[in-house]
Amino acid sequence: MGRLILLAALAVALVIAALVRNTAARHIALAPLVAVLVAVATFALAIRPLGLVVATIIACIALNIPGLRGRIGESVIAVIFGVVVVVAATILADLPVGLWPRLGGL
Amino acid sequence: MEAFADLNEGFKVMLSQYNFVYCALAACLGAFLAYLPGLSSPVVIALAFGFAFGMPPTTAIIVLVALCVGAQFGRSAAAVHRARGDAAYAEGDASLAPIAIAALLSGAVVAIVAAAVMPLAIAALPSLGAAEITAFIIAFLALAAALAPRSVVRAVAAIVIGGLISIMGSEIDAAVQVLSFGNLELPDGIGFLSLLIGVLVIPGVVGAYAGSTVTAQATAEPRTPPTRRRTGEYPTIVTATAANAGLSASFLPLLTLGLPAAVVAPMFLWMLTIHGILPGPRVATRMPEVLHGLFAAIIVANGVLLLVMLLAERLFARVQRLNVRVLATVVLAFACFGVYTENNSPFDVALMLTYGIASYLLFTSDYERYLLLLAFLFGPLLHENIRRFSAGGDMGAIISSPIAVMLIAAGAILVAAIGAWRMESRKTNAAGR
Repeated sequence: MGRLILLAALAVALVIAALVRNTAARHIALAPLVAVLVAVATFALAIRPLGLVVATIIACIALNIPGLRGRIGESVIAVIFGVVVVVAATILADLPVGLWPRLGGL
Repeated sequence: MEAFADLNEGFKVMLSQYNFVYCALAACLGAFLAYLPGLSSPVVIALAFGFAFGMPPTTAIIVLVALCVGAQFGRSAAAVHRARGDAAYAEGDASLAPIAIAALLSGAVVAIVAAAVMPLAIAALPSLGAAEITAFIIAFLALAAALAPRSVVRAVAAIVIGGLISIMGSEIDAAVQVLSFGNLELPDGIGFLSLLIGVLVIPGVVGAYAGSTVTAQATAEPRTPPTRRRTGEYPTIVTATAANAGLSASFLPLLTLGLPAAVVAPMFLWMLTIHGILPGPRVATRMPEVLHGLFAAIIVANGVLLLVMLLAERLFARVQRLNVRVLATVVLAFACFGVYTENNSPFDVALMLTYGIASYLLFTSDYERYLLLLAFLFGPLLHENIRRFSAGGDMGAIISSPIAVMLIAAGAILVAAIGAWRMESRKTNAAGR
């Protein structure tokens, strides 16, 4: 266990050192990165209890929040397109994925 | 003449079981998606990859080849479009048909040559054992790392990380769990789809949003003013033709040696593996229809693209005006959906996110990401072959095979030569400043 912790600590140190050097050498877009992180994490958490449609809507909204100012129309179109594409793929491929919230299962 | 007979067989394969329809649709889909602003061709193939999962092996390979050809074409066409400017298309003063003709000619010539060379290459190959395969994989990965365009250290790190991820899961023979950290999901191993989409698509989406150049070069590059003289297009057409010929030619080493010579090779290797086809000389004898279908698919896909360009070129050209933010949202939604539906597992989506964030932060080029995917695919093969030749735990047994020693020596010499050349060019560059 001790060796594993040491190994993990070494890995973390290497990653931090690499990130510091990397960040200095190139531009890392933090706001889009956080938006993608929040969007995908929300999708993963919401997909089972809330279904595909609601999870996709939440994820698309989360992704579009950073640049929302003055681009509300664009963001609404993005959300609508995102939902339409995944729902169409589910229906066309006849996939066993719950589209709507499981009201009885909560 | 044998090449034409093989191609004839390939066209027969193409005309059976709706293969032609699948090939045409995949070529159009690949070209359309790669033509969109902000989507690079590997991202396109990674997104569309899931469609070929449930298909029979020959159809799946044909679809993947057509997607690659279409994506390559779409990328070249988008580059020419940018070189000419939107106005030339709006006025009907420009055409993408020359690229389609050049792509069709180059693809057809290379497919015929590859079909002719394939039997000779297979006959020239000696039968390889576990030690030789191990030596080959090690030499190949070392060479790939040495050729990294930016940082060799990062390339080696990508290979090590890919190899480590590939051995996560359960060791079936020894009934032990490897690198699963007591997690209940990890003993099943890591799925290729979540890794593929995470490593390639997530950095693309972040880059498209940020307007950076990760995979969104199309959005970041300044558009040239409209021109009727088309001065910048000929080099682009030549580049497009060369890229198309290179893509077609890369299937030869991939299928005869299992040597991934193209950026889309990790996806091909995975598709072959899940259908139980081990790339190598035996493909030609065990599943000749896969080989014949592949070369015919290159020609058919290019022919379909030429037709599409002649019939619906203006419609195609309008695709460039689509909004990148909207596209990035759709791509991310589809990526999450695709990874989730593979096993109906939110854990896979979380894994995709983890790989994606790590890939964006740690790697600076797509080349490093491909190395990670290659190492992930080669990892189990390397693991299995090392176990086979070193039954008593003696790694020195590899020296007993002359071919393995030759392969490692050749790899070492090439790596040293590349290293010396890189150092020399760095000194020259420093002196030039």
